[in-house]
Amino acid sequence: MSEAVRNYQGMRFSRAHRRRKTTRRIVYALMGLVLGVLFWAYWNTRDTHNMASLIPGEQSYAVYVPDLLSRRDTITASPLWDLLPADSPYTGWRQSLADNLGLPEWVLNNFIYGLCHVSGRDVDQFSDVLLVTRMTSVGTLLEKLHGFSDLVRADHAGGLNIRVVPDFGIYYAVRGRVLVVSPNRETVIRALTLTDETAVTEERLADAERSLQGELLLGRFRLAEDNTFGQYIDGAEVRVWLDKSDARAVLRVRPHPVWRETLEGLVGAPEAKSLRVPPPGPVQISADFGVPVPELWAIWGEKGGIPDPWESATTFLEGQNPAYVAQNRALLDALRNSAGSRWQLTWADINMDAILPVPEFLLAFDTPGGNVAGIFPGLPAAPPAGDPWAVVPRYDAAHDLVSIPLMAGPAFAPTVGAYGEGLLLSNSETAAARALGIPADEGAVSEKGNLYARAVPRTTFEMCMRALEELAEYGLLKNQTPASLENAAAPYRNLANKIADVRLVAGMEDQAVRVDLRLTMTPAAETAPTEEAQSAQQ
Amino acid sequence: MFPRRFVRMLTPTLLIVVGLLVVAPAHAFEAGAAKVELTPPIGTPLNGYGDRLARGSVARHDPLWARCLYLNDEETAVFLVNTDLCMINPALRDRVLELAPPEVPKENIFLTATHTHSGPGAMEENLFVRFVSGRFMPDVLEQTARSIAQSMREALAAKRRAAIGYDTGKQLVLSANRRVDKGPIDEQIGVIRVDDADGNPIAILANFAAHPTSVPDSDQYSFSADYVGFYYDELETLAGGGCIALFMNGAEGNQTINDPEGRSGWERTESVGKLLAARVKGIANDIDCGEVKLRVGYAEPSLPPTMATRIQPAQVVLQTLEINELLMCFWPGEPIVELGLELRRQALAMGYAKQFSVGLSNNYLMYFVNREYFGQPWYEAKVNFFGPGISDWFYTEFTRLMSKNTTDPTPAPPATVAPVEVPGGFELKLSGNAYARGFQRGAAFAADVAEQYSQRVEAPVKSAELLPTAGAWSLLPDWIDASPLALPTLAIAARTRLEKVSLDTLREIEGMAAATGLPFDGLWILQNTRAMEVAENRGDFFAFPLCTVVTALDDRVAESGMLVGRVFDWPREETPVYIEHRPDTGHVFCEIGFTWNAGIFSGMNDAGLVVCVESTDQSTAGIGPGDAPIEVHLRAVLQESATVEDAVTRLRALDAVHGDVVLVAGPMKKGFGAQLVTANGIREPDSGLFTRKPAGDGTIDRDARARYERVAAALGEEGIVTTQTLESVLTTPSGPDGGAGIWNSDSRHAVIFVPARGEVRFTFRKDDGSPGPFVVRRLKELRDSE
Repeated sequence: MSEAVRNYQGMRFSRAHRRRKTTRRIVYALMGLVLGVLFWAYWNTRDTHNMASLIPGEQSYAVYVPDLLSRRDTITASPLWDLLPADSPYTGWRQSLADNLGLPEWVLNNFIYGLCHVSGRDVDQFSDVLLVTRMTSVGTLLEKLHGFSDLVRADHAGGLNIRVVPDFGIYYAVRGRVLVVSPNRETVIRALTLTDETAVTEERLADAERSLQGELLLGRFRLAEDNTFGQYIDGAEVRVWLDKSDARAVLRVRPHPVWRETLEGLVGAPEAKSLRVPPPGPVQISADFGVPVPELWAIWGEKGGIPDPWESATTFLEGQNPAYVAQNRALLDALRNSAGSRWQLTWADINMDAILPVPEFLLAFDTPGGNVAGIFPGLPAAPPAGDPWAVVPRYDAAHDLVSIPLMAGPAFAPTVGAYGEGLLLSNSETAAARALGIPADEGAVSEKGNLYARAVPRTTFEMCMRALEELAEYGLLKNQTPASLENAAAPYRNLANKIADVRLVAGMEDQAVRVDLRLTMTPAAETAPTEEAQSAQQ
Repeated sequence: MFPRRFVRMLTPTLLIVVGLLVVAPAHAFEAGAAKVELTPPIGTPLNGYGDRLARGSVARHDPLWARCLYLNDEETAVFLVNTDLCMINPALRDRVLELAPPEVPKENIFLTATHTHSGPGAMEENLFVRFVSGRFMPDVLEQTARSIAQSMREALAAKRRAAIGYDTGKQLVLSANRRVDKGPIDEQIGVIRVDDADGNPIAILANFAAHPTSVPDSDQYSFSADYVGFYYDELETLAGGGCIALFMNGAEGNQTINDPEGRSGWERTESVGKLLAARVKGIANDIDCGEVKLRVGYAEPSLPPTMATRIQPAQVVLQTLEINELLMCFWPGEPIVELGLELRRQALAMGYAKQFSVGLSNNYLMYFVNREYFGQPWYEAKVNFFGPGISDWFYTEFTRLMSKNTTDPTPAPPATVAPVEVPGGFELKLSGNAYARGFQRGAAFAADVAEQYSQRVEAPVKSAELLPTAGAWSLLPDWIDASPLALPTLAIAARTRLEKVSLDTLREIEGMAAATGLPFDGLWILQNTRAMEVAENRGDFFAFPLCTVVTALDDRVAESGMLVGRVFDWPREETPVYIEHRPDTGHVFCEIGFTWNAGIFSGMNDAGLVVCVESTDQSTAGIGPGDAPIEVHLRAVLQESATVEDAVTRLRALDAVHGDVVLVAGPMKKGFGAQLVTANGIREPDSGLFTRKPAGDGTIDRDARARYERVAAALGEEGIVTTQTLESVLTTPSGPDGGAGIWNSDSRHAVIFVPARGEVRFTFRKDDGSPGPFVVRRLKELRDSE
């Protein structure tokens, strides 16, 4: 028997050692795996492609939407959505956008990052819309996991390896961190096979991005001649701004040379002018085409078949009584010859107490051709003896205006009076007297242009409704009773109530037409139906 | 001594006092009068003339007034208000009644207008009326109403014990009939005199019928009360003592002022006003005033149906005022003088001592005319929107309000008869007067007539199909429904076609309208759609019927004397009817036609007189605005004529045959004969087979020629034509593929008349388009059996 001390520690050490060794191996393996995954992730999410290389250079339209996701709140909160009819298929979009298209927000934020570029060639059907945007590396990585989803299927596409989402009818591919999406397979394939020559240049894309000034989107269109609008428009650019109460779009259209020639024939080739504020009223137009108004109307008459109102008025008045031809013609000629190029037209109201509902219009214009108002006091104050309602001008010293009574009282008495630096002409003596009683706004429309238009939809709508209701009350509206008219008008009234103001400024600018359209929405508190209205509807 | 004498005196004195207290009326009669100027601001449009184009006034020639007479017999208080306005419109009346003093019940307020055509408009909201009365000015309406109410308050405030009397006088030179030279006028001037207890004049009211339309052209835009203004001034001067002159116009629809002193312009106006005042004062001077009993009659009856539903109300206020034995009837518009005279005749016959008609009261329903006037091309007839029976309606409704009336004046509706079904259609036997027969027919086919009206009048007017394609109508946008204006306009246009239509026919259509619930004008337009549709050259209406009429006589018939055969073609599906008319007077007659059409296309009377209309492709040629469709005239011909000569004479006198051809056949002064009446004259038979196609006539259209040639071929050049042969020819399908007959796809009925026997053999079209079996009726047996 041996007294030798047996030491089992070594065995114990050896077991622990082995264990440690195994652990280390596992850790190394895991580290390697992680490193491998990280490398795989890094490798596969490298930013190897720039967006430009995947965007065809010869698209008919291109829309740039910067930071789409960061503006979701602005977009979804926009009252523009309220203008859509209740049964519009687009109303669901608002909710979808608010719900992040059904994805967790962090996922969505990683899928769409920075600029969204939408483009295509087909401007009739928009069948080849191509969306190109960037993803974050996380988004790119997430996309690589598509194999775990039943929604996405692979499409070999001749080795291009694109993906298809059958349920949504879209095709997409990811190159680097750039996502290319289209409902059209060929469009995706085409985007993936662009050469430097056929892709848009990085500079062009960068220029567009640089030109963005806080817009929601920038769109550029180029139309081929065989397109429906191509014979009128070479190209156009639109910029859209949106906030919680306003929407603004600036459209810059390059007319086709042929149409530009036609357009210039109709309105000349004016530069943007400082436009006068029109007389007050719910529908206003102010214009200055650089051509005196009578010449403009003559041109329109000749080229557009629009009757020249001066000629029509002269012919009408001459037909009334030969004895008064000279007086009428003298006044009309004086007005005509004095008129400058700046004019403003206002639809002020509808006179419901006249013998039938009569719209009241106010036309103001500059008179660089002479002080016509100066001749007014020289006109007879009283009608010719024995003919109190002679259709002939008469001067009203109390109101400093001249009117020609036609029939049925002041609603049918064309009237002219001094207004600011020019004259104001109206089809109604009442409307003219009312407008002339308010000092002319000598200010200018905030933006320069050649044409300014503004409408207050709610007032305009109610004004028209009053006339329609009157016609319906007397059975003069086909297939409408007052009640049915009220029902039929309800959706439009609702719509009109939501828009506080619509303004448009259009002008010629570098041989292009620039249109600035602003929509101001009514504050929600003002459009909320009252309890009485609600109970009445019920 | 003294006490005895005193007692002796006291007893009879007491007896007299007590007797007076018992005998004298218990009424403390009070009256007051006032006038308030209501001339609106210059610039306010004037009312009355459309050709002013609703322009504003430019001057005030003389003031316009609201004048009010307050009367109270302690039981009944009334305001008699006369205003220098063209009319009292509902909005003004409503507002005045709101503002009126509460002491007088609303029903006892009599609001009248003098009808000056130089008074203000601007008080009418109705879009259709504004074309004449001018733009609506709410402030003018309000101020006018306040002035009228103020006149009431002032009259009330001026009340005092009073006595009242009335009388009438005669005038022959102050007014004239404005339509007919030396036509009827109302010679009566009615006068009411009111004095206070001291015999001082409070007011004198005149009732005289003439339009205040004498303001000269030079002052057409000046406010003026017209001749009435001069009357006021003159009478108040003559009467003195603060007397208020009142004026209530009468049945002045067709009355105007004369020029008794041969003056013109304002001088004429002044002359009539002053002469009237003098005459009124003269009559008033002879009136003994006393206390009276007042009685107000008030009703709001429903008006007869009208086409002008957007202009005219469905109900109207009617009032009468009885002052002892005087009856005043207040018309809500302008009755022509004939209506006023007839109502007076009826009132006097009922026992009233005097009767005044007051026009322009409480509302303005425009003119009221009688049947004789209704079809005349005169303005008053054109703007009467309640049919030719409106005069009867007023007589009835006023009678209902008269205290002396003890019976219900509502005429009993005629008994109705049910149609009997015959193969392919209906048979109806009518009897009684023309109205009753029309009523029976309307009641029997009310639904069908209403449907025809809806389809052939209302719908095409609404869709603008029946509107003129030129002029202002054509400028209306598609979304405008012009029918509220177009239907009354069409009614006015169609009414002129009644000018030569007999009164019996008019009454018959009235009866039909009453039974169907349609306005008379609506049914009359329906009668005229045949011409209107074709004349306007529209769509499927353009397919015009070609009828065929053949007469066999002389050697071509046997003992029956003559046979008339006809096939009636008509492009639209209709419900065919055979109707026997047994009128109260004249001949029994029958017609074969449709439910809704009151004309006679094929008919015969019990004398054997046959009339048949053959429509041609020139049927509407030469039809003027005064022409009714020829078929409408034929009712009277059948009822009143027994011989061909008489019937033809009547037709020629009417000068109503234009593009159509009318066969008149039957007994002549000697034997049987036939004549074709055309626009160019009369054609008589040149052989025993008489058709529209004369030998060698190249003018007849090709289709008709072919059909007549087939008839001639089928009946042969010789031989006896029998009813059986005719039946066969008439009902054999027409060529070229169908056969040698004349029955075609448009044929609605075929008839054979045997005048000698008063026999009618007719067949209606079956659902498959072929003729049904012949039905035989005998008119002579009918007459004999009676």
